[in-house]
Amino acid sequence: MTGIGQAQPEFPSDRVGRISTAVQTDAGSRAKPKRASPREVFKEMPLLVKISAVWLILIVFGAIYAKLDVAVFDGSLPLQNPNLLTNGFNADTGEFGTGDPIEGISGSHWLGTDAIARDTFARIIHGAWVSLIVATISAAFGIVVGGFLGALVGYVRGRTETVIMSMVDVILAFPALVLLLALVSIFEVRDLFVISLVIGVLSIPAYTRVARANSLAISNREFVTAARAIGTRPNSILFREIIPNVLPTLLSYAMVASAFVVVVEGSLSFLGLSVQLPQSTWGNMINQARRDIKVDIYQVLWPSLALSLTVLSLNQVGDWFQKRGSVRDSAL
Amino acid sequence: MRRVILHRLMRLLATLFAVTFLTFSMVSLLPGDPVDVILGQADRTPELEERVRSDLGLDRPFLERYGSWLGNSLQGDLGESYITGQEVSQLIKDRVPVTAQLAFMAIIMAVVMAVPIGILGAYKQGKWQDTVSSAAVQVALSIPNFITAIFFVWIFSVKLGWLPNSNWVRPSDGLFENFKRAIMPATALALTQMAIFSRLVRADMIATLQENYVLAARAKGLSDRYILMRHALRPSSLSLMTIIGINFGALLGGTVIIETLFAIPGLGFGLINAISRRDILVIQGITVFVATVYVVINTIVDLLYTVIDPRIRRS
Repeated sequence: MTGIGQAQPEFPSDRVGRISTAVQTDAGSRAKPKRASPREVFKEMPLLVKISAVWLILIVFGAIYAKLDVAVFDGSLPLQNPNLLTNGFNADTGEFGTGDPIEGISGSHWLGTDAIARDTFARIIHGAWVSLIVATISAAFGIVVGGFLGALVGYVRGRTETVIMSMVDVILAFPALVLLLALVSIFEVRDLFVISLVIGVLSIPAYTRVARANSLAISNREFVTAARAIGTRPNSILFREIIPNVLPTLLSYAMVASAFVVVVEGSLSFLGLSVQLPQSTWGNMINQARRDIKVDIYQVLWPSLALSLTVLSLNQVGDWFQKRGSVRDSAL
Repeated sequence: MRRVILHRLMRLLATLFAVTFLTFSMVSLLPGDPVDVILGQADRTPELEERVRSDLGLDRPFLERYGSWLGNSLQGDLGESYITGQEVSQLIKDRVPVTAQLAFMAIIMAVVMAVPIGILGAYKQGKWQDTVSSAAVQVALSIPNFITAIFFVWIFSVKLGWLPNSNWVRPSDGLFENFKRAIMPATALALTQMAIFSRLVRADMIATLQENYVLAARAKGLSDRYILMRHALRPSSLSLMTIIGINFGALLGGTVIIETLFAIPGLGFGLINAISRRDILVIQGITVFVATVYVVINTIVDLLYTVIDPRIRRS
């Protein structure tokens, strides 16, 4: 008989369990914390997580490179212009050149070209910039505002907690994408700033919940009681004991939440309701290329791969950080 | 027991109140003159403008407007679109069955796939079967449903030519034709849900399998199959129910994209159409309806949970 009765305890890693209440005690407590350097952390990772981390780093560098190319170097870095029609289309005469609109993989177009002969590789890494910004801004909103609110109400409790948590509950009572669509529809101009702002604000409640759960657990720990007993002011307990201990969990939650945000932005773009053309995003590339799947599936495949691999990697790395945090905690 | 139910219903009312308030204030958030925005692409006449102004009651205070809007909504009157002239509640009524069918099919498929995968993972924990199924679940979780859907279309409509990918047929106009059109969108919706459910079933089963009563059942010499189905799956079904409730919101969000992709005349596609026309009243109506359904379903799940599991009733 194999499984039954011999199963090992395991940290539940389903989506619900992801809202982890694990407390990482070595970050801010009195015992001199021994911080692992990024290189040590990387060495600890299992192979798949390592690959995921490398992919994420590549995406971030690609996105920044593409942005620099346009914003600083004025297109002089070695990268195709994502909006250039490479088939020799002459806008003045309306005549097409000799090139095929949809090209396969070649030396000059690494991932081929799309239906109007724009370089797919360049469009993908320009699209990465949109995903990167939206994910980063929503994580920043979540960690700074949501993290602070959650840590605060988990510590002070009382009426503040009731008020803030009921607001959080109401926002989370909406199906996320539907609320987002309703909000986005209010704005006539949808640029990267507006989209990031709306998604960022909507990210706050989930972070608040996670931060509150952690803050509740930490507020009951010995070092907080001790700090209180020696007369530390509530403010410095919040900022020096609670928040530093909530932060590590929030950061690993931010990874998983970013995976969700990347999908949400992709969905919005796919529906044509995110950052507007001609700016390429993974979602709008997929949406444009799907009209030509009878001719060429690869133009759907490349942006789909970029999107899915990024989501997969964020999930892998985020899950790993969460597990690592909870294992450390149980070892105490 | 009665107190628990009463308390839950009170909370439901409070949440619904807040949700409707938030959706209503959406119109007030609109930049510029609301009349301009609401009329947007409609054929504007001074009479129509006047009608919008009096319908909205912009001269009255905000709370009073909210009160009368809520009163009308409760009687099933969500106003009518100034652009198409259609009654919003009628539009919702026409479109709900389509979305409900998709959501229902997706949930059934997701559960049917998730339970065996979850059980396998828990039973063979750490073995290759677990590794393979966990990896597959991770992948299913990471591919957004619209991508799955496009590749389904490519395989089953373009390459094989087995399934049509548009021209929705209602079940009343031919059950088989309807099924042929619903199966791809429903499966695309189901895969993500399946991944979430099976992770839960696996984690839950692993915990249950360590309980003393499972040990006792083994000591009695009951077969693995019997223990898994009778002793272990039953408690897991409760948490499965909860997560179906929680994920229902994500599922509704998913139907918006999938319905748009397959041009299925459900609520989601209706919402997208309304957004592209900036038909504010329709957007508002669908949002409030969907949010209400979601909140009510979660309350029902919560209540069922209390009824089924006596341990929760006491605490």
